[in-house]
Amino acid sequence: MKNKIEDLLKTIISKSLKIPKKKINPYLKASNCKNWDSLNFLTLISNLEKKFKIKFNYKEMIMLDSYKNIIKVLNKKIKK
Amino acid sequence: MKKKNLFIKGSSVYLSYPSSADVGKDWYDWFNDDEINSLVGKYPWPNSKSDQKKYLDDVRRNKDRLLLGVKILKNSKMIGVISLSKLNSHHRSAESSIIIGNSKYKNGIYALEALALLTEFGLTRLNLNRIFSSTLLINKNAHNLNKILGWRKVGTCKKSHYYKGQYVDSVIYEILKENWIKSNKRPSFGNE
Repeated sequence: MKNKIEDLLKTIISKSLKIPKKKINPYLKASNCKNWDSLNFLTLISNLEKKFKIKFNYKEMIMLDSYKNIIKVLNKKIKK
Repeated sequence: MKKKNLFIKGSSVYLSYPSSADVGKDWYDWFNDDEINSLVGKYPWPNSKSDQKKYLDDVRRNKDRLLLGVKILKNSKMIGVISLSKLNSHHRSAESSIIIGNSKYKNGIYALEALALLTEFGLTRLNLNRIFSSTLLINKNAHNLNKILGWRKVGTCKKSHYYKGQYVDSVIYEILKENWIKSNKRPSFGNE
């Protein structure tokens, strides 16, 4: 993923999950992030769809449980 | 491993027909949580295991309501309940509601999947034409959940619910079959 996109992604995650950008790393997961609650996660999906002008399908949506998986799904969507 | 009472299978959760064994766990206690009761507009009243058992028996006798447990596929833990109520066979409509009671699993993913599975089941298997839900204006979780799955906001009921000392508005969302069948949010059932 290109740096500019990754930076935008970190900004969106940081704002949606209300965590500092520097805490966003490849190990970030729903299971290890206190702020990854229902409201913040649903805000994150909505913000990703808006900012990247994409629509996640069902399979993609339920994969978005970690920073790594978000990058994986976004890479596929953006390439399309 | 075979899942007990599995009804609809997803990727991380499955929806099951609740049994008396489920009552004995923490299900009844979710409804002793003031915040859960407030957000679903439930009367704040103590709930016991026997109350919950009676409720389950009532629901089972009542054919205008389908109540399912939301369980984690990996460990069969019941984390919430989801339902279609006011099932109307003439107008082909029903009202949905969902509660994820176990706070450890309130990360949004399970609720999203459970509601997608129920919407698919209601609109394509029960052949409903419309599913609606009513949610408090302050319950941003529920708004996001409905919006992400493509439900649309159709109206606001003014001061419909009493919440922490004041009357608050509620919002009605709905999804029509004709829109859902075109949606990319449709799940496929894992048990097919």
